[in-house]
Amino acid sequence: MFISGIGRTKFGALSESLPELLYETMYNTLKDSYLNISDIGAIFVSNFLGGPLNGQLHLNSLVSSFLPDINIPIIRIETACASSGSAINQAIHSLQKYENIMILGAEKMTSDNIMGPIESLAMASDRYTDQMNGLIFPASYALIAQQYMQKYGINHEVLELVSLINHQHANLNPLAHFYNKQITLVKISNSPMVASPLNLFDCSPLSDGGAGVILSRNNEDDRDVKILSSQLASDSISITHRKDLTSFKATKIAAEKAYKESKTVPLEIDIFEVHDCFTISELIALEDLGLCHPGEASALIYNGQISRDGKQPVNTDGGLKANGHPIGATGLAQIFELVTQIRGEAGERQINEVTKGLAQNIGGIGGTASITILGKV
Amino acid sequence: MEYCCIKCNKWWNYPVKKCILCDGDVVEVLEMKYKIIGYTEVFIPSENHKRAPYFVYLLESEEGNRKIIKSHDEHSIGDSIDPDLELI
Repeated sequence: MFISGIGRTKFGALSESLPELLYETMYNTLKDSYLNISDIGAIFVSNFLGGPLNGQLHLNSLVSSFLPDINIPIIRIETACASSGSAINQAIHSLQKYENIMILGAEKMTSDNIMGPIESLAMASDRYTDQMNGLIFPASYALIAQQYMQKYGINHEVLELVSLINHQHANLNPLAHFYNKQITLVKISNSPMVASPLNLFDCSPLSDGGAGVILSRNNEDDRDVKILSSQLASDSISITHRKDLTSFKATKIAAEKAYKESKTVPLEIDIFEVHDCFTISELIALEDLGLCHPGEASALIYNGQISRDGKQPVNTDGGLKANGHPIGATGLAQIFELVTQIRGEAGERQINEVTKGLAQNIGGIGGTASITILGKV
Repeated sequence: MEYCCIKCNKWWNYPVKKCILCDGDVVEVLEMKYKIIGYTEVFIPSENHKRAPYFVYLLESEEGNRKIIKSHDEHSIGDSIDPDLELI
């Protein structure tokens, strides 16, 4: 199984509507590939909030509207912020039937909203036990940060550095939400509190955008990238069901299976794309993915291991924090970055000798986890 | 409210009647004592929680069961609390 095409839009507060973002994504993804639309056997659409934010569901049929007289199977996948990771996983299983499958992800979050984005995002958590008790999305991760800081004795300074590194990476990515924005450590540490201990710059932004990939059963082009593993795991939706908030069990299970299937170990992965919806989730990801032991992720921040000139760069596109987080597109944008790096097409932000990359895409408060490992053909 | 299987002690937040793992009866658990084990102060108002700031507390019972409550009163980690009285 191979990735034979990638595409995306710019991320940010954009003027385009959800349909326009989906179309632009599809067009860019096809143009990157050697394939034509007539070669695509099925399409998976990834989106989380088309209903509550945009008043638009039935996105498979919406995408069909862009493809006159091409009546192929199209289906929408929704697992909150992990929608695109889940769509990739399910599309891979469907490659047994279709030779080429396109996966499109998009989200329109910044305007024309029917519901408020805070209430909409909270739908990724349990309505009765969590949402109704004030646990909006940033508050959930704030509780996780509080538990992590209490358990391991770290302070907020390391989270500020996580934010800074991601913003530095985004400044080399022209498609990033925060491209060309000079974000300093002072600005990060002085930003307003959202939910203690997390401030504004601990949180990923509300972004519009789209990203897509084409999966192919066969390797037909020298720009193709191999899929070494794709794994999916789930966990309970409410954090009240978790005995430990400082680790996401679904990530650990999916990662363990992915390492086993791809016959790799964490040290053999050259670059990582991790789901840093909040800065604390990057620290937890580094531990859950096996880059270090529990409680030791801060060291990887301070010693530079995960910076772009470090041993194992993380989020070279800026991550969710600074590349942006248009939810339905997020996991696909991670794959876009890994493929770009493995192909050696990342320009100014290219990392030397990338042969393997891993993407971690999580939904809600770790209730869904998708792990994808890619490698050079 | 919490619900527990009388045979295998698995927990649910919803009133399920039978345990899917062992087919045991599931009963509501009453009069649990909780302690605060974590908290956050939320500064941004939202449609369902207009009055900010407010606190969200993570509670744990003696049996290890966990619960979330919202309050405008400030408490500390380790405080004992009756979650039903604190709900706002």
